[in-house]
Amino acid sequence: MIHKQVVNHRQIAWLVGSVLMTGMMINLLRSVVQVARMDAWFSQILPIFYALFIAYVLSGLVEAYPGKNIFEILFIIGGKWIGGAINLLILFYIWIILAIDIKGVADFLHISLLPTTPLEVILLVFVLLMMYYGKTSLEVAARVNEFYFPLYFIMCISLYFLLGNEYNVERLEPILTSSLDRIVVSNFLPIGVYGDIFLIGAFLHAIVEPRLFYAAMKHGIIIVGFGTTIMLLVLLGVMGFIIAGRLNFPIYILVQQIHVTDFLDRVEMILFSVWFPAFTIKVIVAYLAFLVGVGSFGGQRHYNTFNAPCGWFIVVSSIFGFPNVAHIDQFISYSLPMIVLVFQFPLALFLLIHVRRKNKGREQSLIPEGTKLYRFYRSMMWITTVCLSGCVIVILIGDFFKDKSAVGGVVTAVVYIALLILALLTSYGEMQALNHGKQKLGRAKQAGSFRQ
Amino acid sequence: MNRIFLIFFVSMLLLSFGEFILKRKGMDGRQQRVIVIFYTLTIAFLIALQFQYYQVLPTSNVMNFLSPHVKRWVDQFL
Repeated sequence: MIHKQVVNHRQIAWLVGSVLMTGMMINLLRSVVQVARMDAWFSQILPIFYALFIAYVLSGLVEAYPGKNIFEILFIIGGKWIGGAINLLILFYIWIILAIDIKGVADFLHISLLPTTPLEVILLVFVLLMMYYGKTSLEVAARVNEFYFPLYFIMCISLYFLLGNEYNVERLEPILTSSLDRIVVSNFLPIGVYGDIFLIGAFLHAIVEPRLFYAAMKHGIIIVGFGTTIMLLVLLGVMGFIIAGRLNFPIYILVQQIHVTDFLDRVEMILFSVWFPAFTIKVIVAYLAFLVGVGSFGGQRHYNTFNAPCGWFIVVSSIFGFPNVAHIDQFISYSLPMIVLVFQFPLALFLLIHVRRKNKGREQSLIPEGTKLYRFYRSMMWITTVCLSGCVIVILIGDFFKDKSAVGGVVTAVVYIALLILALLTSYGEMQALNHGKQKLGRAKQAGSFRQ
Repeated sequence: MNRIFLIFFVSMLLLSFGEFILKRKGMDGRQQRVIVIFYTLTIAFLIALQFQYYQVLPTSNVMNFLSPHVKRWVDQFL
């Protein structure tokens, strides 16, 4: 498995985007809407900060333990028994992600598109596809994703225009009338899905430049935050919070509402054919992470031999663990955020403290200080931080003024979206500046910065 | 459980298990143990699935045991 691999910073950003964004579209948004009602579209900002924290810890691990993945690092830190026990918990966590995604998509296909095809057959076919990709590496998934994720993202944004005739901004108003408690809780629910970024930890051995890796992940996370916010805005503007909060697959029903012309019917099929491959990439990344984890117990990185037994295991265990779609919905909405906060967050904190000690005095800079490029990079980084913090501050200020002025809510909404767009652009600038710095330093003679 | 699925799945499972038996001599001991664990778990789950598992073994409750508590906490908080 250790061969030169070309997965560049952009592919990593889009992989993160695919991993976090596609899974959310099945049924998470319903519970978010149930909690925060018409203000549900403010629900992405705290999960963005959480995912950034995990990305920061992962990049620190790359710096402290180059060439090692999270499973190997935990074996080094905790030894055979403690490290092994934590790795088993991580494997269980990855299994949960896999099981809910596979069973969720099988349920979705069975209910919405293929009602006469047995659920188990849909699930088996999906797992066979996953096992096919299990013979390859992250590189293949990243390249396929490079084709589908931009299309998927454009599709999400284009929904705003495609559904323009159904959209009514009054369904969102009055903005920020939900209490701050509701908005905070609605920010807590997506943390479970944003926690999926931990999957990237299984591929840390393939990463060379930690700073560029962090910038790429940061950009990917902000793409997800922005994309999901727009989707929620469209969902609420078209359906209103009462209907959106009662549907099993709100996004699917949303795209069914597209009626651009009389002769262009069933547009959702076109959009679905873009979503499905992007979602499949997410599941493949999770499956590869699972195989890497199992491989670390098997004593090697050659995980091909585990492909078949793991695939069969996932088929039956996902049916066993989550019998129907209601259980999956309940689990994603309430149990997953709790598991992430109780297990993943303390683990990340522990790793952060460990990495801080280990990396003390180690300074790594891709861009020489004092150069124009360095100043550009610093300004991009600071603007991104200010914009993301600004989003939180804007919500707090908007909440303060909610009873005093209706215009306050509209201003809050406009500023919030503007700050998110600015953060999206500046995070891209930060990533590109680091990449240019790396190219100038001539560190990577190869085209990419990641190897496996 | 669907019978076509069952026949297809069991035959593929047997095929890959047979392949493992044939190739196992070239494998590391730890690797063999991990693979055997996964096959055992798969067979155990497959047998369990043949029962009315949602009535006899409420597995969904095991996975979702936290959900009602969190939901109640969320409702109280709001």
